[in-house]
Amino acid sequence: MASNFIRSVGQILRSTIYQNEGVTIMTIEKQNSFGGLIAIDLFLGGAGAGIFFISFIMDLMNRFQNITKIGAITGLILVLMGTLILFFDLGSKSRLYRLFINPSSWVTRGTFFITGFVIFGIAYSVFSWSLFGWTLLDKTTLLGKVVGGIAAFFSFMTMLYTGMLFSTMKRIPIWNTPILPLLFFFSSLYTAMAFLLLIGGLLVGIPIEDLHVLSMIEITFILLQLLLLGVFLWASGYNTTTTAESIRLLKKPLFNIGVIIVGLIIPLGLLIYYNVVDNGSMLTILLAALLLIEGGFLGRYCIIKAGIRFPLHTV
Amino acid sequence: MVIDLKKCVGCMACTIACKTTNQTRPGIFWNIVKDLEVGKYPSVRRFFLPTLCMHCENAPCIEVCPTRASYRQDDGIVVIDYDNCVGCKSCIENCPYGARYFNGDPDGYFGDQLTTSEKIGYRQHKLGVVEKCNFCIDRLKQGKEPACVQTCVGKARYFGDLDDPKSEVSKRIRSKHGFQLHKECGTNPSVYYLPE
Repeated sequence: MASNFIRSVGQILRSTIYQNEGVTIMTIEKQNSFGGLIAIDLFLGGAGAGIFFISFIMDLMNRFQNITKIGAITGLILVLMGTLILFFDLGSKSRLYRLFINPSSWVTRGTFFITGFVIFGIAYSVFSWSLFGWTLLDKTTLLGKVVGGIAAFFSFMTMLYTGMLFSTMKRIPIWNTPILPLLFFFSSLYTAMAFLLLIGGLLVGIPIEDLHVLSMIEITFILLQLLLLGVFLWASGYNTTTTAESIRLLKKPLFNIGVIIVGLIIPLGLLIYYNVVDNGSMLTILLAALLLIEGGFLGRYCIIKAGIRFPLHTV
Repeated sequence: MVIDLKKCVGCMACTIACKTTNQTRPGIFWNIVKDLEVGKYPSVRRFFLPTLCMHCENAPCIEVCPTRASYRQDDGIVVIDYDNCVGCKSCIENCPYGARYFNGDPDGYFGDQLTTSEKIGYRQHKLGVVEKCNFCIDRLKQGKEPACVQTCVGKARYFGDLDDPKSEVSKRIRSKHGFQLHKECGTNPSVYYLPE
């Protein structure tokens, strides 16, 4: 028992020594509360909400109608899958209903957003597919647009919530920054658009001109994401010793190659190539979309795993 | 609570007293003594920093708890209602002092074969919820001090009413320039430290 106890104490005290401008040596500890399951949940939740949101905007503009119907359903399915995974990560699943109690908590807010999105999203999808056509309920009616608008609002908030949840965590300085919600928000948008490109290319077979428009929007999202990622990495590297240590942890091949090169830069190049040189190879679009989805998931996973708790000290 | 850093010898008797009193599972420490180093070579020194739940007045854990399982009692002690906690773990990473632990592993110190002591002790803990120090609330009800205070070898810990200016803890904070850990977090902890 004694040796086990000493081992447990050792695990708690296990530290990396880091020197802060040559003045203080502090104890640094990695977070272990959140891992792969939460990364999958945030990725699916963000991407799913993004797909629905973009689909609704396209619907409003009367563009890409053949994608938007499938997009709305796909978005809902992804969010539901993410919620199911989140459910498995909870310690006490039977008390799930209690998640609605404290509106000052981002977990409660997120639960409201996801619930609202699922309820109104299902209603809007029913309208979109005219499942109850005899009732004259259709997405083009005022009621349909209002229901869709509410669902889109909740999907927007769901995209934002995934970053807000982490950015309020005071113990992890690399998350506790206003740029993280923006980073996760645009990550949701570009992965959502990647899913829509997949749907457009594989399932629906939309016209090439439409694919060009969608891929140009995706290029804009990727450029914005790269800009935000650059600001995030630069600001975190100079913020505190703990964030600098987090950046050191983050900048491993999984992030450098998996997220930045394979997940963002190569697909950006492929999409530019598709628009400028290659006028119609579906393979280019599909490959770019798959790589973007991979990068979107790995990006969230790496940022979650790079969470380091700020060290306690008295100086 | 007041902890005199000058008197703490880092024997960790408080950690053991807490473990035996509260019968927490492996890896869960409601009270722990951190072994820290400060300074720049060659003027580096080592010191011990006992930490536990600070029972903050503006506790971030209460604010972020989606189920309101974490709450502050009238006497200022922050407690967790295990029947309401869903184990979402958001409070763990919101506590600046690292005082919270997730109780998710059913194993004891010898794996899944629990000793008689563990079988009895673990009954008070629920799996799948977050735990932390409660200032030995059961001992307080019996008029006793928390186990860490009672057992401290160097008599480095003092327990009392911070709201009473005549209490020993209030006097020591005033006379010895007591300070709160990471005051910049704005949590107003109820645990004070006396400088080395």
